[in-house]
Amino acid sequence: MIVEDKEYSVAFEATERRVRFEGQLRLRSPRDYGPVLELLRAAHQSGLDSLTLDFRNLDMLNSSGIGTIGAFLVEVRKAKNMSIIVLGSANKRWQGRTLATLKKIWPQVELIID
Amino acid sequence: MAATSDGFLQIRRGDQLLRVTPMIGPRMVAGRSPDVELVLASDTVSRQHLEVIREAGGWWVRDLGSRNGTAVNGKQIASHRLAYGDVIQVEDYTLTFVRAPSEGRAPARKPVTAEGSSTRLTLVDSPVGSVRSLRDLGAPKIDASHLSRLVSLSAELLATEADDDRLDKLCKLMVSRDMRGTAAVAIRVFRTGVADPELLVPPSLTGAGQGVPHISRTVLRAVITQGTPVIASTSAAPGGNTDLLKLSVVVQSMSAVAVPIGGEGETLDVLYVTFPSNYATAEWLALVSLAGELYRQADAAWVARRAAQEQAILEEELERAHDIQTRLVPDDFHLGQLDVGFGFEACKWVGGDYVDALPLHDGRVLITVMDVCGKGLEAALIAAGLHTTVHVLVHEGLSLAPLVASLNRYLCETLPAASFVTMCALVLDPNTGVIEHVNCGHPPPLVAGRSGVVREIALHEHAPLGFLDVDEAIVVTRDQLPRDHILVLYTDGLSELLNERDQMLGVEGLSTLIGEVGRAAPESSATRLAAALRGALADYQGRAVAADDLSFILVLRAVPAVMRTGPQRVARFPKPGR
Repeated sequence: MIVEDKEYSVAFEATERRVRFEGQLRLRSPRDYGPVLELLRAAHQSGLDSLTLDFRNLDMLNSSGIGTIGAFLVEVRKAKNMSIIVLGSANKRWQGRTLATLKKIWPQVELIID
Repeated sequence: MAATSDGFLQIRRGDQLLRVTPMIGPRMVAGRSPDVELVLASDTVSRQHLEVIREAGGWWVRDLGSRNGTAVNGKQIASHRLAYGDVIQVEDYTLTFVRAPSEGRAPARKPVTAEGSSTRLTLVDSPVGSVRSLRDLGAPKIDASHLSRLVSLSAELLATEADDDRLDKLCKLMVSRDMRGTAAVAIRVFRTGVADPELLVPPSLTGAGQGVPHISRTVLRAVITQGTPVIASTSAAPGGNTDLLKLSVVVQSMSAVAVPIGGEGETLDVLYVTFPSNYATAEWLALVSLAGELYRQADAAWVARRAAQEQAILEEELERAHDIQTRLVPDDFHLGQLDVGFGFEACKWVGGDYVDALPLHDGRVLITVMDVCGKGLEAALIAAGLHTTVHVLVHEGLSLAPLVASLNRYLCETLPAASFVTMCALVLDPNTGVIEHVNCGHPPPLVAGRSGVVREIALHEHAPLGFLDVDEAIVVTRDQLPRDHILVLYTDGLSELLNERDQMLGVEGLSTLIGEVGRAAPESSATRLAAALRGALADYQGRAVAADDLSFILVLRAVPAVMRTGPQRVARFPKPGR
């Protein structure tokens, strides 16, 4: 399952238990992130007990995108049926602070910046 | 006659027609920079996004290496030769290339219902003499009285607001004693020819009881194909063309003129006028063409006038909203040893930033900066709600942690999905400088002294409001603002400010600017320091377009004598709500 445009792609790879984010995600509003949120929900409902959100190849995520990921984490946090690992890159300076915000939303998120 | 252009660009944002621009000159650039010919005010539009250039006898659109690309008719393009009807897409803007300014607008009029023989259109396939355009005929010799009548028509059309009334005036003039037409109809034809033409207004006829003229398919095909006025006559056919006699039930030998006057895409609006057969000359074709052109121009003027009126109403509403939001920002004030100044500038009319400072009944001050995810009206409405909620909670006498918890609970219940609010809230003691601070996903406030050294205040960062678990305990951290130091709370619009070279200021750059402001702290008031910071930010930004709201609160802790230099008011303590 994949959501993609010229600037970005978001792919759910069930066998890898991973959602891979690539490119630049800077859609205008949370509403525009609807397909991405639906993909994340599909990953949540796939029956996996853990899911990795891999941001290592994502160059930009705007506030509406953070809101979308945050909303997804709140849903998983409430469902209590899946653990989340967030992968980031130390080479992308924005990721350190932004992805840390995700851990603030749900402290049980395992955050790995390498 | 006004100068005609090679076409027009109708610029829309969403469904809103913003303006219609004639294609004049060799090149027009579109983008979000205020310097370009076509300003598309959106932060996702590149400063110089695309160009429309006249080349090789046509108009071309070229993407100028924009960040989000340019599409024509749904396909991404680097370069594309424009044809009438092409739609250029730039984010949520559409630029439609049209022949006439009124093309492509929403259908303004319903076709006249064909009830009874007086309004029924009859198409005939009879052969006619050669169908000719102005190019095929000699130079017209137009009588001055006709020109004078057309000038009067132009004035009438420009003074007539109703679309149908303008069309009716045009048709009536065609059958007046000045123009001598025997019948005139305004019809909408379909370029594919699948559907029959539709009457747009009741036909204008010379005599009572006269029927609607039969319409020649040959003439209609010619006007659709050529896109220019055409004329044909029975008498033009060598040997006589008696079949065209059927074109009108009144006129046994006649000529017909068809002039395009508007339409969009698959449809073309046509003025169809019949004359006695000996009127099939360049003069009459030119006169009807001029009348048609005047009608198109008046139509375009009304479209532009209505768009301008709608835009003016919208801007007036937004201006009011802007005034209301600006009034929610407190005036600069001083309280004890604290001197407080504000910076608040929405990148659009209104924004999602919220800055506030409220004296508490215990003598301390609650200082709050929040940033609602998103921009524009939706974010502004949420920010206005925050203002009310914070003031109510303060009036209730809540201390910092319960206040933040209540605010988060309220936002979790009311915010749209995937929306959130970052917040920095602190309570500051004017006498001791002691700070109590709660941070919810917001950039940490900065403290700068006269040495220029800048540091972030100590904090525990919670998740943004709206995402924060309602059961999570709110952690309050403590710090201190020394004398002659300034404290700056800000939204990320400052740290993410871009200059003309698309370089981001960053927290380090902002710290440098604040450090320079801080060096002047003991000698100035918060009002002046805030003005200095605004100036420094404006210098950095240059002519770049702001992509986010710019908001900050600057707090100076200084001796009272220094603070008397500014225009501030003295804050008053509120009475506890209970």
